[in-house]
Amino acid sequence: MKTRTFVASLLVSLTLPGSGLARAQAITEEAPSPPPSAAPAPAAQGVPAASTPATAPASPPAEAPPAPLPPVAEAPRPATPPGPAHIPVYRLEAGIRSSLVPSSGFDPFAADNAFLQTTLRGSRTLLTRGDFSLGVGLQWDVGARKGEARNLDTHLSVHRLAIPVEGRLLLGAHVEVFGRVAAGVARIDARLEDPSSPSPLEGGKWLPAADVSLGGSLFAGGLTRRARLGVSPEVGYGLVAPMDLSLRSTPDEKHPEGPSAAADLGRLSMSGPFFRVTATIAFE
Amino acid sequence: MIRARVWKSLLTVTALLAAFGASACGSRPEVWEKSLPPLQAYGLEGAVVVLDGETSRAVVLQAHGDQDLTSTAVPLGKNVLTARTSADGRRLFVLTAGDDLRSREGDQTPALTVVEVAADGPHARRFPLAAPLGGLAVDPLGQWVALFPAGSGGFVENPNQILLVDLTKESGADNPTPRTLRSFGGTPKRLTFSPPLHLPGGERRILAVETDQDVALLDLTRLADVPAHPDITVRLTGGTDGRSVAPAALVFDDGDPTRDDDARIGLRSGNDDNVYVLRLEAPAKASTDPAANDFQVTLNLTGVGGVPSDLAFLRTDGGLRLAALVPGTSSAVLVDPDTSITSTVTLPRAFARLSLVTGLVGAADGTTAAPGVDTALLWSGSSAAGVALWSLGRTAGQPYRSVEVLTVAGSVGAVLDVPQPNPQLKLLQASALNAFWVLDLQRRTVSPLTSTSSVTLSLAPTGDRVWAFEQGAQRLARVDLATLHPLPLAADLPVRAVFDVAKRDGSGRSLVALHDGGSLAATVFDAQTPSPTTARRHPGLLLKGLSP
Repeated sequence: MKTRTFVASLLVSLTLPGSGLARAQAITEEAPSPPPSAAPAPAAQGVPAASTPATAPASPPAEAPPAPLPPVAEAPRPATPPGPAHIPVYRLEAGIRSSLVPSSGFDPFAADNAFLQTTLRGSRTLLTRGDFSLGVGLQWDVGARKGEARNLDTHLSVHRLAIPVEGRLLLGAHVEVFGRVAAGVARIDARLEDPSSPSPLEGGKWLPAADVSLGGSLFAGGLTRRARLGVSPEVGYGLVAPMDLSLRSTPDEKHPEGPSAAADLGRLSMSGPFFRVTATIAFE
Repeated sequence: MIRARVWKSLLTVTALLAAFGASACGSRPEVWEKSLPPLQAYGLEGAVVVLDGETSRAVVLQAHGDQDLTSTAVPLGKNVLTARTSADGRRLFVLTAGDDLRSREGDQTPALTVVEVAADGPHARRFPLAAPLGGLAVDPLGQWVALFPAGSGGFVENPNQILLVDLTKESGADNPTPRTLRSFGGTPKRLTFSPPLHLPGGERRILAVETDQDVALLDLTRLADVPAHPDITVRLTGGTDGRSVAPAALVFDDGDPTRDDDARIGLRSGNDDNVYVLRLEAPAKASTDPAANDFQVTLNLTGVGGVPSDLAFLRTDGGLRLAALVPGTSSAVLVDPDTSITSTVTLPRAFARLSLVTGLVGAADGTTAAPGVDTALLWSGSSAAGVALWSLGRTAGQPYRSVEVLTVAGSVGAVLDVPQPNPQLKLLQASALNAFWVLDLQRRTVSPLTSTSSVTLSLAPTGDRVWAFEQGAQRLARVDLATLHPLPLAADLPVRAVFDVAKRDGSGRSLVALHDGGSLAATVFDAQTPSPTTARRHPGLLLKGLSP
């Protein structure tokens, strides 16, 4: 009953922007008390009515007209206890991350400094204190860039795996803001197709990585009674340890060449500011 | 309705943020858009220099340790015109044209860049020029570099202008020194620096400028004098007929070191039967003009019976002679430079080239050559004439001692001088490039080394080995000049050029084999004990250091 009332009030609040939970609570609190009964209560069966002195029955007494049914009293709405709005427990997010990579080591792979990645993230709320909640999850950013370095084909791919910890503050049923720290690792792989080498020149490394970001979520409606859809833009800064771009050829059956030194393309740092927007499904 | 407004606001904010992000993306340096240039590499004593004109750099490769290679970029000017190494292999001279249309403060001027490799690494010295010049002549003694237009394509150019760069001084207002030669219709084609000559005014160095019809002489020793001394033009083409005599080559001789009036220049033409002897002597009349030269030039011309292909001053037991090879008559003509009297020596074959090998040749009969008498090596250059040793000396009325032909199975296209400690060896390369021979002047033997395909030779500066490789193939070989044992090797990629260079850490020498295609790779072998298992390939040499 409590849940049903909450959902009903939530639906009301969503259709009335700016209403917030307080308005839902007011509606609930102002539920009118049932009106007093207008008709006398019907006599209980078997309970004689107050009797008059006995007289000879002369004729059967006329039947009294049936008393009108008393109005059905509305069940009183239970008052919504004061406190925080409902905070979803689980979230699934998918979106696009656009990073700015000013490092000169990025130059062989791209004519500009932009690097796009797809983000997939799942999180769970662990702690709730009023409108504030704390969640933790798992996040995967993946992206690649193809380019040319002096007319030679290059390829760079970056995977970031992180455990985001986010603190959220509910500003209403629709809006929340959050701050997030995601610590993890990044896998960077680079390749250069160079005719000066019998086989492609490649190099890759696992590196520590972290993100710090601020953002907000705006929930616009419910998919089902237990889930709602929103969008979450955020801005932040990504940190990745720098790596030396030392690319080597890999001997194989097709290219059984001798020992080779590395082609030195400089030092790459994928750190830089980013902007991300995700579609969020939040549910219990 | 309200929900639609919310979505619309959200999308607007997202689009604005994305646009902001895109506009702030930035771009990479322009060098990454430049294409890779064709291979242009030069070997110095301790490094290989590869010119990357697209990015205005010279990439200096130095070997060290276990076939490691360090790559250092030295800035050059834009638009490389030409480059040349010094005779001692320690410097590379690069002429650049700079920006085509210079209208802003930072636009680049033409320049001469001198790349040197010192103990602490490569350095570059820059001499800015006022106009682009495409001709470059390097002084064998290392003091001068002469620059001239050579049709470098400037909007307006003075074809008779010479710029002289004194390498012992820094760039400045008086270095380089410009000179404009007097023009009688010709333009400079070839510049040659003389050795020190004893002239009436003292020891001098002369720059001889061959145009397409005359020769100009410039006194380098007094170049900085004020007023400037004019060049002396020796006209070979007369104005009375339509004949045009084009100089083809010249040689210097200082004469008797105790005399200052017998320095000479011998000159031949490519379209004339004469050889010309220019004698540098005291002026006939003393001049009070401070700008006047303190020597004059007298000219003698002598017919040799055909167009000479090569000439040299030789010392015979009859005195100094100017020898001219005339392959058209299978003969050599000895010209007395004082009297112009000629002696014709019939040669067994039509030799076209000669070089002095005095003191290097062992006598056939075990005796030593007479002192002060030269020996010359003759070879053909085009026909299967082999090589011959021509000993100058008088034997029973003949103006030569002997001409000994050394049989070579093929025509000799080029002769390479082997440096110390084996100057008695000469490498003879076949015209067809599929063989070469090692000529031992001491033993008077010619040892053949054959190849299954055309071979390119690279002589080590140490004079004890030669590297042979096939252009565009992976095979190469080292030949020890003491034992003539070939050691076959192979690289992972086709070889385009090889250089035998000293290691930077002084631990020996390395062979650097360059592979063009892509961003340039090099395979480094140990020069003393080369082996494919210890060699190391270094890829991507023209990509390193592009980003700041």
